[in-house]
Amino acid sequence: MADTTHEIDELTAFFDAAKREAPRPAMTVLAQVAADAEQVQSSWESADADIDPEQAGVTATQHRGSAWFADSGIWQQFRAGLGGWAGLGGLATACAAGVWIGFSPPSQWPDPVGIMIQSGVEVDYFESEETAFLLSVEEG
Amino acid sequence: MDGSEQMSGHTTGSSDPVVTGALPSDDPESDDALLVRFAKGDRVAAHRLNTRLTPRAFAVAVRVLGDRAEAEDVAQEAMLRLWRMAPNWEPGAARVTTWLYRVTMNLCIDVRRRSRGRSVGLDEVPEPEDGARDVPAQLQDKSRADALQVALMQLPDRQRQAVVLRHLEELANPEISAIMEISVEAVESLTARGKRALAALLAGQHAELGYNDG
Repeated sequence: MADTTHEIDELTAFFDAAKREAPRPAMTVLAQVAADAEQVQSSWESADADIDPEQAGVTATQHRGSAWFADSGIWQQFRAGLGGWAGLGGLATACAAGVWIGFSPPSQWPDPVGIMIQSGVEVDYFESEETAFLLSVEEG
Repeated sequence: MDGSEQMSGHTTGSSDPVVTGALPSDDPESDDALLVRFAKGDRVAAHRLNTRLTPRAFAVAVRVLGDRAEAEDVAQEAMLRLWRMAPNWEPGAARVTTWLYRVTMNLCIDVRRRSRGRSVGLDEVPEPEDGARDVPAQLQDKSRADALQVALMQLPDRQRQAVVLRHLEELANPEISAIMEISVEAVESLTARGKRALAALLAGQHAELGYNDG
């Protein structure tokens, strides 16, 4: 078994190369992890909606979306219309994938925001609150 | 990333690693802060944690398992457990990455146990490419990286884990100690033995990989 300092030092070149060639996950993996996050967070919100905020003594801000979800009849109809929890899960996956691609398009895809800026096309960035929110948190 | 912190390597018997001396970061973009925000339903925090942590879990899993498909499953499962655990996360108690690495390693151990007896054939791991003297630097890096991965898969599991965490993920020994639930001295022993074994395995490939060009 070789145990010379020289040979062990030579390992540094292999380690450095391996770090530069670090394996990267496919976009599908990142999208699935994003979808899982969305499902988990949505499940918390649904669980919160089962709690009457007034009885629980909590503020409305602690139950995001409770004004919508508090009406269980509407929520149940909405959920049923999507095909139950399975359908809702599929919708969450698709939405999360879309948000993910919007945030981090694959390298071979052009950056849509960059294209708009470069082309000088005037776009009302703030035509919707959602767009304004996304742009306000976009990493530079 | 979490700021650098001095850590000792003691762990509790619970599933959550406790690294004494860790302090909560004041950085609102630290893993700690993002996880707290995630638990409150912050979707941006979810995106940032995903971008930052999933690749790390995946890279470690690939290097430990030598199988990309299995590593994808491990990384996804590890991140799912992170999401579910988030409401119980105590800011400042430990590093998020320490917790994630530990879960990832344990999942890798489970995978290896299920495949015990089915050795990782070299066909499942990329073969090093033939290296010409004038091969571009990138191809040369890939050849060396592939050769290292082949050699890593010939190490005992614990040596491979320790070497990957120390020399590829560049973690400090105390953090590795917390991840692997062993003493710092045991970490040092595993990495030393692993490196000696790797050096021996790779000794005959320097010329093929264009190593002698410095």
